[in-house]
Amino acid sequence: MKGEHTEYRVGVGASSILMILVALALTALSLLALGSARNTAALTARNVEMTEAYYQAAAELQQRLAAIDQAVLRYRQQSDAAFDETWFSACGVEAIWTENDGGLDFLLEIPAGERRVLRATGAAYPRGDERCVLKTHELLPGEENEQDQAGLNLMGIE
Amino acid sequence: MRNSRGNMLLIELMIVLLFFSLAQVTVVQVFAAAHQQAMSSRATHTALTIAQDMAERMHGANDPAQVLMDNGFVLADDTYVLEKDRGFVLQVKLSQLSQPAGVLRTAVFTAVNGEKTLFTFPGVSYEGASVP
Repeated sequence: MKGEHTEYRVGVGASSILMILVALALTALSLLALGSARNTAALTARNVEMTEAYYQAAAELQQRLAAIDQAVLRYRQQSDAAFDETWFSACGVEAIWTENDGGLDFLLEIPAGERRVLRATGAAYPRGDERCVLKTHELLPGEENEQDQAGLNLMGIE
Repeated sequence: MRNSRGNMLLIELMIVLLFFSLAQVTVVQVFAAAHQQAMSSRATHTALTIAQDMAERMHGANDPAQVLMDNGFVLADDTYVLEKDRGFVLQVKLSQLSQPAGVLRTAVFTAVNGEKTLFTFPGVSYEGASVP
């Protein structure tokens, strides 16, 4: 046994197998990186889309509030007509009106993209210190979204 | 025999290196595309965050222009511009509509990356005036 030694040699084909493995690993990593980047881009695009839709809706809401305020001021300054829905319709203001004590409550609902709705409620007064008061301003998911969320209740908790 | 085997190994190594190099050219291109897309998404997201932040700050401010100036925007040709080394330019154009009942202020936010428009949205706030 003395004088024997084991000789390790790299056989023909070993480097090819190693190259194939390394190339496959790097290809897989690059494809994963590309997939991740594409997903991030898609998520960012959706975020941009939803943000733009929200701010468009918020802008329209502010414009309608301005129109309501302007209509109330015009009523106070000029009109002897009844302070009701027809007055605001005549002024070109679109809203849902209900009577309250000494004034009118209004409800504005504006689509904010992705089935969401921007809802605002407030009150307009024909006299007094305040003309137009905004009471609530909320972004609500649409009805179908609520159903989707109900479907995600995996634990069945009410 | 040993010499022939050594030559075969050398030839194989050369072929392996050639194919490996060719494969890596493709892989590096894929990595570069992924990096480019990730940077673009990051720039858009950063621009969107800054724009939303500015829109909300300006909504409650008496002087929207001052809010922009305080946050690094520079006035150029009626447009407030934020240009930093982030891969985008954020532009804000202010306007206002005065009516007897109050003032409707509008700020249009636009983010651009070179020739490409990343997004644009309006930030509108209404301030009623006290009229006797």
